[in-house]
Amino acid sequence: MVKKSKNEITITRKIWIIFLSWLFPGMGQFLLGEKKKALLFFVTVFSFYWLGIYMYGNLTFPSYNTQFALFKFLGAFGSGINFFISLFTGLGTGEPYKYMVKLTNEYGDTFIYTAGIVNYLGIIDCLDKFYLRGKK
Amino acid sequence: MDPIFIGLMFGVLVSAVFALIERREKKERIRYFIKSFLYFFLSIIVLGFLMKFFPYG
Repeated sequence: MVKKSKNEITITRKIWIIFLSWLFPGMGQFLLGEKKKALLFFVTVFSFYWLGIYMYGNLTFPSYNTQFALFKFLGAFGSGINFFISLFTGLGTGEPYKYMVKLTNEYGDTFIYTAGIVNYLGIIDCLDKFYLRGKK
Repeated sequence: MDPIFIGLMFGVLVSAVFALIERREKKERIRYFIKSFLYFFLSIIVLGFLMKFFPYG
C-alpha cells in the first residue's frame, strides 16, 4: 500500500479550499497557513470592491446585446461575498444610466473588476501551493 | 475622493499582491514591490496629466 505523505491534501479539501478562497477572499491562503498573504488578499479585494462601489461603479450582467458584459460580470463575480452583499443591499445595481452619468463611473467599474481579478489570482496562488506541496 | 490618493492606493495594493505572488524571497519581494509601485504610480500621473487635454464626453 502506498503511504500518503504528510504534506498531501485530499481532492475534497482542495475543492473546499478553492471554493472558500473565492467566497471569502484570502481564506485559501489562511487555510494553507499563510496568514499575512491572506490578510493582504482580504484587504485588497474588499477595499477595491467597495472603493469601486463608492466611485459609482455598477454591476453588469450578461446579455445578448452587449457581448463584453460577460467579462465584466465575471470580473465582478470573482470578488465572492462582496458581489452577493452588493446584490442583497442593492449597491451598484439597478438602472445603469443612474451610474453612467457620474464622472467616476469608469474608475469605479475598473476597481470592481480588479477586485475580482485579484481574487482569481489568489485562487491560482492556492493551486500553485497544492502543486508545490505535491512536489515535496 | 482625491484622484492621487486613489492612484496611490491602487498602485500600493496591486504591487503588494503581485510582489507576494511573483517572488518567493523577502528581499526580491521588496525590490519587486518598489519597482512595480513606481511604474504604476508614474504611469497614473503621466496618463492623468495627458487626459487633461481631452474633454469629458
